[in-house]
Amino acid sequence: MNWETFFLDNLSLIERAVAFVCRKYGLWGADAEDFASASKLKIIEDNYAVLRKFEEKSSLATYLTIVIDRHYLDQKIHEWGKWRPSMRARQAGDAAIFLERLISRDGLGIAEASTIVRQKFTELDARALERLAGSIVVRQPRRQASVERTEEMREPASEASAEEELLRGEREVAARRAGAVLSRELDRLAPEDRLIMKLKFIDAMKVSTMARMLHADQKQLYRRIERLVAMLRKALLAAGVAMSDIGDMLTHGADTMDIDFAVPDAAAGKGPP
Amino acid sequence: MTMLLAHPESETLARFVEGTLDEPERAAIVQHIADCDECRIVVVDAAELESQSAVESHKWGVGRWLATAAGVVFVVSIGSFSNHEYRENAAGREIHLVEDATRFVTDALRTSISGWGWLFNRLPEFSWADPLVPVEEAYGHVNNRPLEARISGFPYVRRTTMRGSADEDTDPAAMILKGKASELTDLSGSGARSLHARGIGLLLSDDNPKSSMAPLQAAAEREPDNAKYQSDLAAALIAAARGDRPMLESALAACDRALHIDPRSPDALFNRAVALQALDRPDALAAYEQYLAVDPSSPWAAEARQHIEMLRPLP
Repeated sequence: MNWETFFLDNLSLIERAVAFVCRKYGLWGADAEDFASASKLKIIEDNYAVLRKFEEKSSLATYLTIVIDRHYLDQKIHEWGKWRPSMRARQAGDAAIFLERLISRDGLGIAEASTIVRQKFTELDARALERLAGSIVVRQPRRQASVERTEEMREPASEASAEEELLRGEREVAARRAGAVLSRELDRLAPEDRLIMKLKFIDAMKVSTMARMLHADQKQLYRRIERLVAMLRKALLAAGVAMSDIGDMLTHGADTMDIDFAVPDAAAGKGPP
Repeated sequence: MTMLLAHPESETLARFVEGTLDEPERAAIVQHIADCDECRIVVVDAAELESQSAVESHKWGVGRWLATAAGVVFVVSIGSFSNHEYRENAAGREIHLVEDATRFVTDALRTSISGWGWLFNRLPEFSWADPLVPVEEAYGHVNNRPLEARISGFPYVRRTTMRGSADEDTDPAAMILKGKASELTDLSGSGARSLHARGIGLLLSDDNPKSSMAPLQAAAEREPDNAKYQSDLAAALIAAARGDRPMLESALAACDRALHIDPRSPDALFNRAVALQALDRPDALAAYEQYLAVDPSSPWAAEARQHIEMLRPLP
């Protein structure tokens, strides 16, 4: 087969997959153009290895979406280090992912992280950044900051009142505790049940889509989700987690909690193209 | 079943998304992505694009159906007219142009109507039936009303316990309702009716009521003179508010807009009272009484009286 012809024949499909990933991660203008070029290059390199690997067992569109999406994630891991952005940050785009990473992973304060984000995303004004910070989930850092702090990055004085700070602190402690219990309970579930809970509460996937992927009956899947939720709720209550915190977790998604969904070392092998 | 150590091949993940893997392969992928966020993320994204493509292809399929059907109806209509003209000639009658034109239009319309009727009966997308009806029926069977506020056209269900109670997890009717409501979330279309139905679907199937606000708001903006859309937007805002005062104020404003359009809308009057009560406003009592002036006898009225009893200051 002439792979160049195959590439050109399916260029519109490739561009559609690229456009989808750009929309998904909030890439616009020059960033989107750069990513489109890099994605095409990825497909062309090594004599169209990506296309040569395709065995026509799935649709080309789904295959290309996965390849290109993975290419984006690999780029970000290379650029920013291993980091799993929350669904909300992913929906809000690159700047939100960067901001979340600085706050949640590197342990910077909102103001300090915002300063760094503004240096990188110069088109953002203060109000847009404030909205961004409000939209993302701020989780507790798992390790201390590795970013070198400069004079300009120094944390400005907080405008929040002492009372607000106290309340925020209490909420964080409660959230951390509830998150730890939820994480433990999720680990106890069978892999498929754990996946179902993550797809439903972290990724907000439609049950109809989930049912197709898991070869499950949609109605039975609803019942299964309800049963799992009831089970988790019971376990959380038994562990002394307040009802209000459970509500937050089970209605706003586990993303609001500090749940360690880190990729296990065993699964972190080199990925396909 | 073996645990995959490295990330699965992209095509294997694509087949997982499309549901074409055999059982052992599917189970291995499930085990991997249950703990591998990167693979789970790409699977979720690809599934989203696949669903969008399915909707587009469905729309295109329906469009082609529609175009073909329109062509058939047109040809049959013309055929009907030609046949009519032939019969008139064969009878040796004089053809009157005006009369013939009238008959042509009548025949064409008659054939078109029967043709479209046939088409509508076979394509649910073009059915006149309200997509909310199955959800309304399922709503009527739940043990406990999931929302404090009223949704227009939905039957009365007693609200006994708060959301998040054990009832919700054990009531099969509540699960069926969620299933029916989730079907509405797949509706495409950007018309007010589709947006409103999608919003109601999200309100009753998604655990986060905030997700319903965008389509309900869009429906209300598309048809600003529709009291029902304003009142249902208020119901969603009340459900999502959880004590958030600006959101409750927005719900109140939506009720006021609904009542401006239809001052005797029972849904809007009830939801207005609920919003005022949630805001701890003293005029909530008067709002329930206003509701009773419009609806003195339904089960909603009994519930309004209970609220009045609770709100009435102690002697």
